[in-house]
Amino acid sequence: MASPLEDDANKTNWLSFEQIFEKLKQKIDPKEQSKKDKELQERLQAQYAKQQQREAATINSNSTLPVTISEVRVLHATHTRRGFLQRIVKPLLSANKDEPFTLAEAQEEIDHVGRTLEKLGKILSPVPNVVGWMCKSEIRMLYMLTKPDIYKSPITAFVDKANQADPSTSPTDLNVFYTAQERGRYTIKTGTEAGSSEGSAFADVQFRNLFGGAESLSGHASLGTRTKSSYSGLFNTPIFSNPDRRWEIGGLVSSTLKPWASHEERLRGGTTKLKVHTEGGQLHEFGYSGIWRQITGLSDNASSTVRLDAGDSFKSSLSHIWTNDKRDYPLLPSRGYLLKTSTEIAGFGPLKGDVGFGKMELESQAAIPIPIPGIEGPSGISFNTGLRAGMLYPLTAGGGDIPLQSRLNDRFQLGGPTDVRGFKISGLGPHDGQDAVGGDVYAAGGASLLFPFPRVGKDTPLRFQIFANAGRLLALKGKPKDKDGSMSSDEVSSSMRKTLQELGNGLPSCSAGLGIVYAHPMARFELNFSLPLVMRRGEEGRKGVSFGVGIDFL
Amino acid sequence: MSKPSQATSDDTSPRTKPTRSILSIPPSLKRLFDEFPLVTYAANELPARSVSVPNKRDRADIHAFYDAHLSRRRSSEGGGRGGGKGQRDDALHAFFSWAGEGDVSPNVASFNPGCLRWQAYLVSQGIKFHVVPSNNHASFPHSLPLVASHPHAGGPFAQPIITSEGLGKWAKKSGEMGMKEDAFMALVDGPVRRAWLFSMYMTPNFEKLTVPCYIDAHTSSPIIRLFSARELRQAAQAELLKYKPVIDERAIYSDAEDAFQALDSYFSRREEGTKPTTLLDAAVFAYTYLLLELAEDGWADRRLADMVRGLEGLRAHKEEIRKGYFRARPPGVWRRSKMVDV
Repeated sequence: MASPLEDDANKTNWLSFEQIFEKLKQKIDPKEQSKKDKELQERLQAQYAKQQQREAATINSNSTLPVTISEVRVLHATHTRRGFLQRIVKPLLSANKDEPFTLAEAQEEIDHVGRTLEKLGKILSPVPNVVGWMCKSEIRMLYMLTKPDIYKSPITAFVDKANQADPSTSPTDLNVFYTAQERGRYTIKTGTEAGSSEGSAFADVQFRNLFGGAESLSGHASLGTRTKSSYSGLFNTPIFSNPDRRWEIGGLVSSTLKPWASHEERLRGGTTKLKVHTEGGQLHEFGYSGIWRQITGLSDNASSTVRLDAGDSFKSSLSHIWTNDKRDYPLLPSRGYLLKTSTEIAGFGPLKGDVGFGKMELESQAAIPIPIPGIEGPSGISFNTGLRAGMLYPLTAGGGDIPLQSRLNDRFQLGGPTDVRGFKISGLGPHDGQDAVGGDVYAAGGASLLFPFPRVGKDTPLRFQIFANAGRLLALKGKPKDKDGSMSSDEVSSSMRKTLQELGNGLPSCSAGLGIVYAHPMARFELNFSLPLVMRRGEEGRKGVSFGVGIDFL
Repeated sequence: MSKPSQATSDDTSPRTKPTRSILSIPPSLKRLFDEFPLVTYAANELPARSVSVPNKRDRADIHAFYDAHLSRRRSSEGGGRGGGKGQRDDALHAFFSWAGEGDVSPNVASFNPGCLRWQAYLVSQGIKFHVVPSNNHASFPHSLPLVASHPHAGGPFAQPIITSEGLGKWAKKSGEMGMKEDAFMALVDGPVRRAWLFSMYMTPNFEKLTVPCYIDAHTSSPIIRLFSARELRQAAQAELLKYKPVIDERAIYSDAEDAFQALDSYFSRREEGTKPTTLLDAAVFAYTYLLLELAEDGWADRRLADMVRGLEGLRAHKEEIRKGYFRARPPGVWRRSKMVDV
């Protein structure tokens, strides 16, 4: 019993050291830490808010103060053309205006130019979030930017009184400086991707600000199991220094396996597009594309319908896509709506080519947050509903007088984890044997109720969902009676009427289930369990668990 | 005897065993799942562009075409294979072949000797089919023709799709060819085919006949036509280079001449009354028919045609088949130029 006492006596010296170590080693109580952090944050915020209030008051009280802007400098933009920047800052310079600005107007205008500069990056969120103004001897604007393309984020603007020693300045003159740090002129990215039933390796290269006018050239190459090979190049430039108007031209060579219809599709072609962002955040895309398509590499048990369409065809088409996306978070919306229409006209009149059709598609989605009575703020529960529909109308091509019937490459496919869940990929619609041969008219709808995970909370991109979705995909009704399988224009329109009526005939093919949703910044992942409720003979449902990755979900 | 019972016990054992893998579905749940889908409607209609049996009028034409042959042959020997009585009139095999747009009837000859060979052979065997104009992508990785058999058409085909390779095996099994025929077949598939390839792909015949037949009918796009024509020519060149590392025009033609002469003397000396219904007859006919049916001014390079025109035995052989066994109409591009009576 004596030894422990002795030991204790020996240890007394050490204990004090150990205690120190212990104390150092001891983990800081996370609760206490977070409390401290919170306090600090609050203090900073309060200070910041006060400062902002002061600034706002200063600016407000001086809002009618006449100011003129004599000089605008964009710093660090060494690789950007002068003429390109001139067009952007032109409205700012007082020399281009009859009357001087008021301070408020100047602020507005400086803001506008700053926004334009930053939009020369990727146009994802057209309205930047102005974090604040600071007013000492200068007014500073700070923008939080979303992935600027040619300039690094954030772009800052300083406003300074013009040097009064300079005899050419007037007392109201201000100088504006933008700091636009240019990003590297090129990036190269390589990587590998693995999905549920495919793997691929890719290389991307992007050259920015190619001629000093925010032009970009990007190239993409990938090799994989599903997309056997794909090479594309795209040149993109703003029109007249306007980041809201862009012109794109590109080329593509690819080869993709389409196991649901036992073939491989090779594409070679070019597209050109004009993209216009409107003030209200809508996007219009006008495009032309000329594509040589080849259906080849048929599997041994390919059906006759696929064999009939095997070979070459040339599609020459004009298209318009209108997108109005007002969802708060497109991959996992809790509020807002999406409306998108696509129109394509191929082969008609001077377009020529081997196929002729008019194609119209509508896509819509709405998300409504559902509040829980008794709980303040958003509950994280939301109701999502989506509707898609499309029609392919046969038209004459290349000056012919008989409308051309649709081909396998142009027809719609429906079914799979990203549209009508509970069905195999392209599991809906007409099937010839094992092959999904596609249809000319479709309609699909879905509804899902999303709940946050208990414990994990509503702020994580993880949700639990219950869903039901339905769809129909139909080929144009009525076989051609003519010898060579053609229908006259009148027959086509009556067939289309019959087909549209058929959409409402009987219950649509549908399924229901539940699952987990995870919205990664790049894509949305879903793991669902579902059962098909209504089907057509030949359609391929999927009972049980299925996994889906995608960007657009119904 | 014990096998079936063993199998059944194997089937039931996983259900009774308590150590079930996590992935297997409990039987009660499986029964529940089997209830789904709750409603199943009739199948969706296929799109307009799908292979369907020709309409009534065309079917009548096809049957009349066969009947003409069969009655002729019945009068001489009595009955052919395949098209027996009581067969449904829409039960026709689909013969995917190089053919002009809209040529669904088997009486229009294919412009491709490989396809025409099988077309003539199947007709002479009384196997009823309708033609689906097609291209080599449809029969990947083999070349045309390809037969999609009709389940109710009876006949010799068991599988749903029969490639050109499958047709060769089937013909071999029916065993009408002896050693001699095999040797002559080698002449057709060797020197004659090479001369045809050279004549159709390496001479001005390419632009005048081959491109309109093989490419222009399939696409209206000048770009695709240009690239496809180049690919087609390169493929023919590669095929010729497989035989010899140099393409020697004179050797190709003189080899072909020898081969044609050998075939000519074989057919001339063949026993009187031999039916020209073997695959060799069809294979030779495929070349001689295409070479002789086109008017002289239809050729841009008529060396090969002239070669056959000078051989009495081959001309008679072609006429015998054309009159008695395969009353074909020449392909579209051939019809465009004036016909010559040989």
